[in-house]
Amino acid sequence: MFEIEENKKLLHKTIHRIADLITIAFVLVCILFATRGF
Amino acid sequence: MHYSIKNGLLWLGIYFILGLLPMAIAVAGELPEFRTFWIEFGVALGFVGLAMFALQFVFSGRLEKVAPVFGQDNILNFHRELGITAFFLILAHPIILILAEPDFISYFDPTDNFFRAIALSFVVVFIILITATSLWRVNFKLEYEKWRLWHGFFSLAIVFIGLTHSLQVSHYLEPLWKKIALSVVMCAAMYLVVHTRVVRPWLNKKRPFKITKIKQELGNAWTLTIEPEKNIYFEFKPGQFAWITIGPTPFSIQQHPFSFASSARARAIAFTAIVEGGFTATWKHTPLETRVWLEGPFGSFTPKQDSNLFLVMGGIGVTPAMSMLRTMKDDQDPRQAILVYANKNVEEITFRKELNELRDYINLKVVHVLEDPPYGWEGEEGFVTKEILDKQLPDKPGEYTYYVCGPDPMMDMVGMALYDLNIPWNRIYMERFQIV
Repeated sequence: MFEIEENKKLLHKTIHRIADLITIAFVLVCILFATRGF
Repeated sequence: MHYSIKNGLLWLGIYFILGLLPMAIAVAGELPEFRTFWIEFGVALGFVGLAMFALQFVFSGRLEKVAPVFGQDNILNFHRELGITAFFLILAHPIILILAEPDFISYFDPTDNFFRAIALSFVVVFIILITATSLWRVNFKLEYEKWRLWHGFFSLAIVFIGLTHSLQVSHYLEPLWKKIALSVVMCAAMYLVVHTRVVRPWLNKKRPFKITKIKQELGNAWTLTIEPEKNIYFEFKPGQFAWITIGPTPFSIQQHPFSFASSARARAIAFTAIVEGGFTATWKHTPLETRVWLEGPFGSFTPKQDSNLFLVMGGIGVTPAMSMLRTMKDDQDPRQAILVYANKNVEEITFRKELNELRDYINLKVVHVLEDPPYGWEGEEGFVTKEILDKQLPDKPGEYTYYVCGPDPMMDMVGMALYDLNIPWNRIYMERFQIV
């Protein structure tokens, strides 16, 4: 069961990473917006 | 079309640009006076959160162009992940603004502006409800149909109130063209939901089907065969799926996705499902000639023209493979197909007899894997492991595309095993529907 859960985590890791990257990019743009840095 | 990094990046780029569109409209032209960093940051989170929420409609809108690039399964996972992000960004918007400037609490004060306070309070409650019920629908014992109805309603309400709120605050949306631009973008996103829930069923009204046969299969499975009432031909690719509605009208909340099990060349379309209660339990009691409505086809779980097929299927997950193999038979397709088919025991091998017969017509090798084999069984036993797959892999694995469909744990194990066996990720296709 542990192995299955680990595999599941690995399989969805890429999607998690992409979602995380998008979130970070959006927050960075928000900081840019808030500093009028554009 | 195989999955590709190029197409994936293109769509992600489009997503990113669309996510920033409301903010781009806000900063276009002359800017209002700068307040503090935290106020402007809170406002920015509101714009991005609203855009991300509106973009969720793209994933749920069943768009035929987006699905083949990533696969329906990945898109739904992506929808889920970004929904969680949008949840935090939208909730962070009022929290940061109120912390930065406590006077902003007046937005929630009904004595200040009754309708505004009620609407914004509802948005906060809706955001929490839509996220919680999506993540823990089963724990809440919420039926799928009811959840889907509420999911659509909450999401539309959140985007509509968010748009109205932006227009009403108007700090970054002067002059008028900015308001119009934001409204057009948000209304386009909201239309996707209306299109899926209203326009498509209405279009489907012109394309009724009727049940022509209901047959019991092995392993407590039932096959529902339908035919178009009018002289039309419903085109689909083997491995795809459709949303089925049974009853007099296509405007029903009872709509479920099922893979086509029949050949893509046949006029009669068959779906096979295990009777587990709920929607499929009604199949065996449904009278012949009952009307059926199909929405679709959807999915990229389809055979690629340039490669052989390596199919790893578990239980009733074999239905898309059956459609592929039956179509290959009708097309007299000379390609090689290897089917690793996992079941609990011999009695549950739903299409056992037909698979044996198919071997006479197409280049098919079937490897049964049984969890609970009978005495004297000489085939594979247990779960579909890396070792079993390694044994069955062809000499030239690069000439095959790999399709995995079955129970979640099996798919997870097989996906990782294929990855460990150096099968490139863009040749592995996985299909699962149980996402909420």
